Amino acid sequence: MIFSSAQFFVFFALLLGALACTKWEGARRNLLIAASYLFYAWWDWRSCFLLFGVTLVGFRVAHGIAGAPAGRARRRWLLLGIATNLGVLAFFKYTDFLLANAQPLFRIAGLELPRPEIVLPVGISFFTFQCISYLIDIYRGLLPAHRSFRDYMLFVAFFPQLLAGPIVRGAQFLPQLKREHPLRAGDLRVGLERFLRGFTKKMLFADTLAVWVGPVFAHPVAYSPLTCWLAVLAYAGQVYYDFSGYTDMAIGVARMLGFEYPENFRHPYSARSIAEFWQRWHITLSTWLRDYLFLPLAYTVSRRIVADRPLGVRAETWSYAAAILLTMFLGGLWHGASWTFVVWGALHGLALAIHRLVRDARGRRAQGRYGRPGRFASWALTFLFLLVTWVIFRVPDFPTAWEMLKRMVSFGAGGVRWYYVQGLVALGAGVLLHLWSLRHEDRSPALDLRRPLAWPALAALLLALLLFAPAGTNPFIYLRF
Amino acid sequence: MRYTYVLPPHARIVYSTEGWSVRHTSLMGLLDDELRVPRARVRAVLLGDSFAEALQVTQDADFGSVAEQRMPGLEVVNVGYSGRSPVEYADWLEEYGPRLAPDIVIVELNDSDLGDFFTPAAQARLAAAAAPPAGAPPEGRLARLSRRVLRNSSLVTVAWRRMKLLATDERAQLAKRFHGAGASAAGAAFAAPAADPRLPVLLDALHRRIAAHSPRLVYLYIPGVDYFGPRFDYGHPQIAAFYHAFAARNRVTLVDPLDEIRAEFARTGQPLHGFSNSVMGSGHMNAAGHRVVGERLARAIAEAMR
Repeated sequence: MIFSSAQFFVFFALLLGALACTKWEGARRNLLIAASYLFYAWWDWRSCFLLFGVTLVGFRVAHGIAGAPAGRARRRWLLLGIATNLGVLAFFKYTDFLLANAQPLFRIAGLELPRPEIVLPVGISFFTFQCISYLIDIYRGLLPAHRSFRDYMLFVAFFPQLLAGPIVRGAQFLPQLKREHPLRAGDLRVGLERFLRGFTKKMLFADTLAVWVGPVFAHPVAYSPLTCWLAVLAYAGQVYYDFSGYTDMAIGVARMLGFEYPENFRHPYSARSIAEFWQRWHITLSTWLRDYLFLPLAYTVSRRIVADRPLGVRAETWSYAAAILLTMFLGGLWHGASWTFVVWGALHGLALAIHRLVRDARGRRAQGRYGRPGRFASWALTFLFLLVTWVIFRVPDFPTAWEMLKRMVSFGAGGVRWYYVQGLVALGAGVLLHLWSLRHEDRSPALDLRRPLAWPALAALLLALLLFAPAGTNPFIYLRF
Repeated sequence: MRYTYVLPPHARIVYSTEGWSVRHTSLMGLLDDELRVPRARVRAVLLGDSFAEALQVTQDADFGSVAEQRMPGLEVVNVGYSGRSPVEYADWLEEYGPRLAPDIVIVELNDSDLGDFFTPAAQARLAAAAAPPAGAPPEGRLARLSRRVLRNSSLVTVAWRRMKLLATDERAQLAKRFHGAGASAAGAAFAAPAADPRLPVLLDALHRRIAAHSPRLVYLYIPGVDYFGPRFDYGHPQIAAFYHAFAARNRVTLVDPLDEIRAEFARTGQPLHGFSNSVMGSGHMNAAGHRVVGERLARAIAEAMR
């Protein structure tokens, strides 16, 4: 069941009705947990056991860390917790990938490796990362181990964020459980507005652009260079509207239930550097990677560099470069068990490292020296890099990526010319919305339901969705991860 | 947009779902010019569904009109209508054919027609042909009102159709959830009727009814085409093979323009199916496709009239 399906609307309406009839906070939380497990079981009921197992281990390890004396014992508990979560993730997500890559080596020895069919539990990358961050926060003393198993279950399994984030940390969610969460009109209104924003992004923008993206990426060699460029642009739009639309819906649903989630996107395509892009794109993942992977790695590397300026570059720049490369390599692998994702992550890591090197070489004061043309050039270069890397992110294999990139740089007139009208309209509207929000301090246009004209506008929006949204249910892109 | 099952005469229709056109119906409620007076040297009646109706292109660009342009003295009376299935062609011809007195009948067939034999409506029609039913039950006030609203409002019609489409999609999702019917099986399911042993019998029976009212008869197969696969081929080779076997079995002419479509695609590099507001390479034929099919059809009619 996905947020944009009628099944979810029925499910959520029933849940709201049941919550409205429930007076006690404990019963409400029980209901939310039951609903979350039902929501998850809708995908595959067997995965519920995994989710419960991860929750149980996380809760026990958290108390082990909190109860152990400082030093090795705490560290052992932490390692146990991290190893369990990463082990689960590795088994379900990467076993097939590892076996497929090891196969040629074993074939040389005349051995055929078995290829077990492992069903990837949806959302596993998100809830395991959420559990890991909780354990590390307790280890670092930033968060006490939560006493209530029920609350911890809700933290891990709460359905708005369960499938594709945002990656909510314990420090963001668990303190909210100190207060009660009856349904409130204000929360419902604000949450509904946010949900509608996400629903529109998904149905009108992402799904429309998907119609264009799919066929061109399936056979790039058949299409004209301009069509390929437009399809890549369309994919950049699709992946943004799909994921940010999902996030808006998740934030909206959580808000309707009385919970607040962190923001995940801040107009990423307005970034003028790749570092700025990662401050605006999938913020909960990038901050997770920064806090739990990059900073410890950078610290470890910097301790091993003895010289002040090896090869004339500051030692901290080297440690940054090494740590960011490894972090983004793993970040790419987190997205999917495929070499295309690994290369995508590595390219971003390389770009971040080069950006840091250039910035350090030029000095911070050099920034903005070239005024508006310089800012535009920075934006254009960043955006071009993003488009090229989105090609690698989208394709199933490297030969297809190569075909697409070759098509994009060839200027021949051959190939199918397909200028998908609805896609062009969606792209144009997306650009205008982006520009509008940039002029309004990064705020997207909001539908304030308290205003008298909001209801006719809402009716017009729903009619537009009914008339123009492509038929068929398209799953969210990030559900695969 | 379309209204209900029968189009009113002299209606203006703006179609923009796939391709784009502004069309007008004739006095007979057909998406075609008025009948020629005096009668043309050769009058053909074209039976078909949305592929013959050709709302996606302008009226002078559909394959019937192209055939008229290529063969002087030919008049193609296009009675194609979206959603109509071969099951209904024989009914239509038996009822209206004598009034038009065609010299030749063209029956357009495509890949979706075989599945049409097994829809509940088609099954009911086939059963009705075997045993005429008693009078239809009287229509309620609510049904009358909704019919009037649907007849008079394009917006409500489109919204209603979209809601039905979404409901169908949700039903499919639920069926997939509980019965595990894979989406990947959709292509196979589409071609599955071609393997149904009842189908040759049904189609042969229909052919006999159509042939009884046709002095000359030509079947025109409009294939879906796989433009981007490993090799240029029919979209559904099993269905193409089924139609060719049907034609051979009944010794009738089957016009199959795949070779002409292949040659035109090789020449221009542009698919002959699809539009800029739909998916290139799939769906209905665009103007180039109609031109190629129309030219092929004109040759076939000339041969049949010889």
